Amino acid sequence: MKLNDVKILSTFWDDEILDKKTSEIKILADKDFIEIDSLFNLDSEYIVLKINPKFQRYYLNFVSKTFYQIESQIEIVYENVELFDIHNFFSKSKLEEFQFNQVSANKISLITDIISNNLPFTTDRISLDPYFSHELANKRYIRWINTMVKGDAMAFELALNDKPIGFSMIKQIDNKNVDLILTAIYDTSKSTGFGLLLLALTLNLLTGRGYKNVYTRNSSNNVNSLKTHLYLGFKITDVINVFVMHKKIGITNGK
Amino acid sequence: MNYPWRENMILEKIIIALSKLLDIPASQINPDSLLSDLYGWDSLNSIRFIDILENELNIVIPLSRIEKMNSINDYARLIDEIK
Repeated sequence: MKLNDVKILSTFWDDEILDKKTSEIKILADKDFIEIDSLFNLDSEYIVLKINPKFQRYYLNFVSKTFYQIESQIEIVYENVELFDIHNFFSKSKLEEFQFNQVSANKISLITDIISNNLPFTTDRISLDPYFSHELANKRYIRWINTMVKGDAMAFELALNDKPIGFSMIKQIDNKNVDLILTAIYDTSKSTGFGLLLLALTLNLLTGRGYKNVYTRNSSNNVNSLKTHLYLGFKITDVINVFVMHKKIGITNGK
Repeated sequence: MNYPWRENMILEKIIIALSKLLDIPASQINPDSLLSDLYGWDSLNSIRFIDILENELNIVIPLSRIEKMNSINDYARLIDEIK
């Protein structure tokens, strides 16, 4: 594989948050021969490798060089999104106990402060990596959320009797398409069904604003979230397998 | 077979409801089990489960209490309190 068959992304904020020089590599093309050593010559301590399963025959090459698979990213889309009748699950009186409101960018600390204490993100590649931690993963999310809301992303909070229980974030792609960049339920409210409500309310809001297609992605490490998305109407469009390698911990320079 | 939980009507109704919902034999459900450890338990089934309990037992389960329900016994105690 030549380097023009891969895309190497800048990951400056991971360098800072993870305190490791990081490279993220996307394998773009299938070739008869893989010169995997070129990946090891990158001046990085932590390498993230994203590869479509159609290149499966190369997996052993990566594993032999101490890459290990940490997750699969499952790309999903809800085309022609429709209003979901929440009353199928929650009675009117129960729904009245919930509040679903936009959180403006200058009040985003209402969400990020809770993340700091609650550490809700437990299934992403940083959180599950034994060489990182839940704390680091959540710190990384906070940094990302702050960056996104300084751009044109919008955040919405779900509360039960004024107690925050989760949030969602969206980013417009164009006037018909929108990226649902994040949904999260805080630890104390997991496995309650409130995640379905959060997602349904977010989708209903997007439908009301005239969006037609909603794009997002789930980690294979969070099957409950994937099941909820599929239940509400999302369809799987692609899978990307994610391998990681810590160069100082693993085999140096592939030898 | 005799199951200790058969002596407790509420517990029995909860276990039978769970058995039907998750399609697993009642004999495999232990009242001390964490709901999250039951095969097939997820957030969708959590909502369905509450709906079934409310209809079967003619009760209203406060949403604010759901967060603290980790085991079958937790639900039995809550329902005992509500009824």
